[in-house]
Amino acid sequence: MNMVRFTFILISKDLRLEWRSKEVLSSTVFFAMIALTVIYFGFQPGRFQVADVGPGILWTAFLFSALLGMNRMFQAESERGGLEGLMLCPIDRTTLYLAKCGTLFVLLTTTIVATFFMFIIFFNVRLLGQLPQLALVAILGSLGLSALGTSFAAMASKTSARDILLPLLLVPIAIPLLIAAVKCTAAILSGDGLTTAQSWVQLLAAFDVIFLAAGYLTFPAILEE
Amino acid sequence: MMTNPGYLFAGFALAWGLVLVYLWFLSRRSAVVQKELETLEQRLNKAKPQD
Amino acid sequence: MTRDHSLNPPTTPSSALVGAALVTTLLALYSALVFAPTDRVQGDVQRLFYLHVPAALTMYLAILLVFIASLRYLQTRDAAWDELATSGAEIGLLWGTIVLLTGAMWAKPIWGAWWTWDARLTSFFILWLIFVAYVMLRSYGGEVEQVARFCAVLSILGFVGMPITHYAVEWFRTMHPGPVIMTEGGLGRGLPGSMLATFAFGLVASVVLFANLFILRLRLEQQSRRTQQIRRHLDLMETS
Repeated sequence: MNMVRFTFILISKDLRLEWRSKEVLSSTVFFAMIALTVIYFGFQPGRFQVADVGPGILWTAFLFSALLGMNRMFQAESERGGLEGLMLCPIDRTTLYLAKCGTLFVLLTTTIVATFFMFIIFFNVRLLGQLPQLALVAILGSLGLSALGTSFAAMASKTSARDILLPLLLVPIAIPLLIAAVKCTAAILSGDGLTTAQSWVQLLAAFDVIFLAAGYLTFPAILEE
Repeated sequence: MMTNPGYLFAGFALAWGLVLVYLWFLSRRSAVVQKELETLEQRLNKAKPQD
Repeated sequence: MTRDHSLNPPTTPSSALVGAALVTTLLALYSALVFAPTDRVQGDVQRLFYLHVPAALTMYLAILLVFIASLRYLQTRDAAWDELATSGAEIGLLWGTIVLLTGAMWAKPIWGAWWTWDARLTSFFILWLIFVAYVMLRSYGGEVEQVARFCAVLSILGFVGMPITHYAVEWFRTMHPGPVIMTEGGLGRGLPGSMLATFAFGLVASVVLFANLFILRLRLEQQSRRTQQIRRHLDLMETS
């Protein structure tokens, strides 16, 4: 069976399971809602400009809910013995990476779209035809986080301290992605548009490429028995 | 004429302090492991008759 | 894990190395505190740089060491490479901590703040965090063979991310200029020879001292693994 087809089969299986239980998505979306609320209360009302702090709030809330989601996704997998089962099949470990990354990407993109909506509503942001640009940033951001997250969540799920290990492993290396995503979002929300933030978009894309490649190549080392 | 001597000496003291503290921890751990290694090797030699 | 005896790391620092550490350290200290001229603008606190900058450069060397050892470990699965990586990371973390602390000691009297988020500091802090993550993964990563692989992957991913992190942080900072920063004595540019020499002594001392601690830590690791090996062997023998 060729790799691409197998990847899609695995992704659709995982997504179907998720759709039935909604285990990961419910945690991430509700956590993002809580995070946005808490962060809002952290600021003095009327003393901040949404365009200034908004992007940071948005991506911070998303990052934390993504961490939660990743842990749940791999923990559920590990409880079901899913990864071990898959490893018995004659599939390349690298294909498994693409499959897990693909599933995570779908889940994270859904989460960030939901987070965007909540953010727009909570903070009364007006978007004048900027949705395509926001979509691009959402996709690039999710992709990078999925690439890194697949590697580190797979690792963390095999240890006893997975809750603290995942953020500790992921966040420092994900900082460039965070910076770039916030910068792009800020450019969009302020009305200047992504053309003024081109280097940040390029950085996001470069981040995705680098860590998809590195994650793909190193995944077999993570999954060994 | 020393300006800001406090910070200068604090900086050097901290750096050297860390190195010395680490060396001390290393030597303690090393002593423990060394003893353990000797005990285990004795057990190994007793359990496994030398051919 | 296999053990390939073609790689034979030293088991104790030779007396030559220890001697070198003592000599170079004393020389560096003397140069930094006495020999080097007092900086006209910053005063004597500037002397901290003779410790701070060499330590930072040494930590970059440690990062390279850990990266190469990690790569080699994944290629060969030889425990010796993993021992090198873990020792390098731990001493590297120690050196990084020294960089951050001495930096803060310098920053407070000169900039008025213990810390700022200027590009170089921020990038360095991120690298330090990755070392912290490495050491924590070592402790909580599970059994030896698994943790060796995980740490190797972490250091590879961290290393590969260094350039993009550097650019992201720098671009971020150039758009948010912080306090006007006095560059750390612009190495090489217009520095009097005595200062350059002091930096050189500092760098040599830092590397030699690092090598000594590294070998000591390596020895501890080797002995520790040997005890685990013997224990496993004894368990096997007793149950058979």
